[in-house]
Amino acid sequence: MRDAYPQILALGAGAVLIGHGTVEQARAFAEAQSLPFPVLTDPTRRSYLAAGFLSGLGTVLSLKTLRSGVRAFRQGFRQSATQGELLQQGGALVIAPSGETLYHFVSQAAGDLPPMEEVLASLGAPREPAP
Amino acid sequence: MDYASPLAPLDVFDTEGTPVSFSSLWAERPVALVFLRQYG
Repeated sequence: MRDAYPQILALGAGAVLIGHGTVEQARAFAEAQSLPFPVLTDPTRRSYLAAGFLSGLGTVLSLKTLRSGVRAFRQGFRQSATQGELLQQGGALVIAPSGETLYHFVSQAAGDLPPMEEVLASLGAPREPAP
Repeated sequence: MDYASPLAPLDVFDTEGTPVSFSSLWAERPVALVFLRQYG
């Protein structure tokens, strides 16, 4: 989301990262990443449940997870020590001031990240033509 | 589907441990909320 953040701001919107570790873990992550947007945390994971995000062994042990791990490794990413609930998956929401949900993405497995072009499109950005 | 209503009464915490209400996140402008699988 870091790369898309200038476009998000240009579209008159904001961005927030939400994790489910401790406050200390959130602070360490925010400091290490020097992110330009807020990092919040929900150790209870009630918001993950309310947003319909997945949790369970099947979301971690899958061929898709293995493929994502290999792809991330090839791109130079290295998994650090797991913080928070291992079986919890993430996702994304875009919500308007009216309360309307403009976008909802549910990660199906580890490494299944919300496509930022879809997030931007939900905020009104023109979609890029397919190459 | 409406996800704002069930989230609105919930609080999260900022990096100082201060509670932040979900509803405040989209009160003034649209917001992209990205929920992480984990930090790191």
